[in-house]
Amino acid sequence: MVYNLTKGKSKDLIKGGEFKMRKKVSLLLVLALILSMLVIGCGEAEAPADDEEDVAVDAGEDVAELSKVGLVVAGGLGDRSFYDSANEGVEKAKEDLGIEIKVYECRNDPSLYTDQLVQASEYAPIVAVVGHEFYDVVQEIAEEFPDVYYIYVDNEIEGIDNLITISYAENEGSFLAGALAAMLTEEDSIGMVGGKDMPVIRNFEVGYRAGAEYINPDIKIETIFAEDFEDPAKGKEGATALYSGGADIVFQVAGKTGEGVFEAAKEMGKYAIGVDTDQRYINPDVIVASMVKKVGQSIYDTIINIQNDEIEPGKVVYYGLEQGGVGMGYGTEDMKQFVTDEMKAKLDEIEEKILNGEIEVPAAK
Amino acid sequence: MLKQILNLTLIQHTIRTATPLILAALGGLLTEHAGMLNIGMEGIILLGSFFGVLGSYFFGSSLAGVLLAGLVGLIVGLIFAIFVIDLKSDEFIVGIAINIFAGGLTVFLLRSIFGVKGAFSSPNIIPLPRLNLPGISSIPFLDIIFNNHTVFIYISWIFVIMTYIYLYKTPYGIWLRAAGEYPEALETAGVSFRRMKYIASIACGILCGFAGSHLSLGYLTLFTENMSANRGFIALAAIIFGRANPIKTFGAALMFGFFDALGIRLQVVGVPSQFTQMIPYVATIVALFILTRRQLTKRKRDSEKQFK
Repeated sequence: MVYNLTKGKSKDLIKGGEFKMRKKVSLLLVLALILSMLVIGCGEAEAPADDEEDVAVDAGEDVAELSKVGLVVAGGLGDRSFYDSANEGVEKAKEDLGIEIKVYECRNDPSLYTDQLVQASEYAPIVAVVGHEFYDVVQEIAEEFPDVYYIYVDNEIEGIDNLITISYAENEGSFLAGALAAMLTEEDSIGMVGGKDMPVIRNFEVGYRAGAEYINPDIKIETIFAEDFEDPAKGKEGATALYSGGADIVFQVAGKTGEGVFEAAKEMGKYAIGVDTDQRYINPDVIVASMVKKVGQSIYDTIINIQNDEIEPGKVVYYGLEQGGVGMGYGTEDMKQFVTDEMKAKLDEIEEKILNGEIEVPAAK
Repeated sequence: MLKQILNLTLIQHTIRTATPLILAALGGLLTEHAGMLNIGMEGIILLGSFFGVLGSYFFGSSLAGVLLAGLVGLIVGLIFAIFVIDLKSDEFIVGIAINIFAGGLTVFLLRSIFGVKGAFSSPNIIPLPRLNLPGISSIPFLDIIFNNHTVFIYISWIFVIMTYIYLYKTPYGIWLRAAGEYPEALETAGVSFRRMKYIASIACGILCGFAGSHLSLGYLTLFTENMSANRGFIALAAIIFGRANPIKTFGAALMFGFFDALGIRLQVVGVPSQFTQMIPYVATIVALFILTRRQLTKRKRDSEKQFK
């Protein structure tokens, strides 16, 4: 019975034009729904922005409010160099200053850059951003969250008040690495494996080259870019090509790709120089020294400066040899030492000359 | 300058780079013949790399690592088969799921078992042994090219021939191809196409697992997150390029390896890396163009013959 009734009804509806009417009504309803959703959506987007301001106003007055730090990295932790160094910095801040930290990894997924940065900005009033990939994103987000402090390493951006960029003199540190390589090599031929051909890595390269040529003007220096920071197999092949071409020391500036450089050195009985952190511990028999770039230290210092309100808004902070931002690492005492005291003395002498301007280190960024 | 680029290490490099691709591609072409291309190869390679290191580290033997990697590959291959053959899921979705799963699982296990993030290397990871063929070590040219490779390189060559014989010279190979091309015919002949598909999928898993263990135990002696670095997809390209014929696929994998090696060597003589980076891709397009053209003209000639 019921079945028949409905069937009849729907037929009538279609016949009697009432169906068309109903269609219009439902269309209107849908439109209204969409509009209301839009309105609500806009309202929601504005609401947290207000909250942010409240938080930030408090933050300006009270150091305790600046007690959270978010660390956003473009790749993933565990590269035993660049990102890990940044992480050490915030970990140290957590221990010494008792702040809360949270790490946001983007795992090289560009679609996550904005999201993770926004997440971090909503979590903490201080956000440390690590990775050249964020160059555009961090500027946009910094303007959207004017009350969050952003510490962005490895780039130079001026003019945004809440964005503090830290620039390192990789060239100065690499000058020492190059000089050391030139002193250690027996073949008068050295090499370097870079992650990607980009300004920061080029800055390592020109320094390294200049340093080596300072010791020995006739030295042969070859550079290979793996064009990947996460493929150790490529790093190994690059280093193998350099070693079989005559080089006996290779400087790696390639993140996880660099692990492959160490493998190649081990296999071919040659030597390597590590980067960013003191990497000797990875394989003390082939890694003779490391060019340390103190990303962590600089982030740590900047967090303290923000808390004490000692920052210059919108300015670039420089970390070179003078500020102790770059330097050489020789591992711990119990490791086999390749770098003699004479070499260290010579390097100290070079450092002195760089500091007083006697040696001018070329730059590439 | 030419000597710096075209020397014997170039061939060595080609062989080394191509081997993981060859192993994975051999597995993948079996599934391709069985009519269900497994794009989860990338993930299985990654899992193989991880479990290779795990087995080698805990059992103190590279063989244990390889077997564990193969076992994990087998399991994943079986899961793929269950989903695609019996549950009739879309093979691409399952493949993507395997890739994502592998990425997550290896990171998780790396942290929970070894307590590290990102990379794990240890002197306790026993690498695969290297072979020195005594017969050719006295001939300098052959010695450099063919000696002192890890065992998997030689095994991969044997696998290429075996797969070729299996596919084209044995009835089982015909069954396998029929399972992909015309399963009804196979059923009529009294052979279960389901079984053939299962065999293909499991073999693919095992071979990809081996490819992974070769990467982490033969090529390198460490594990890093995402160390498969898209090799599964390049293997996929090699399969499509070689039209799923083992010999041609082997050639395609060698070609990819060669251009990779060439790219690095060109950088040494001063060619910018941005340029060397595109060499493999440009070469692929050119080769694909030539191949397709040749096929088209051949087809045209054949059809002309018919009308005469």
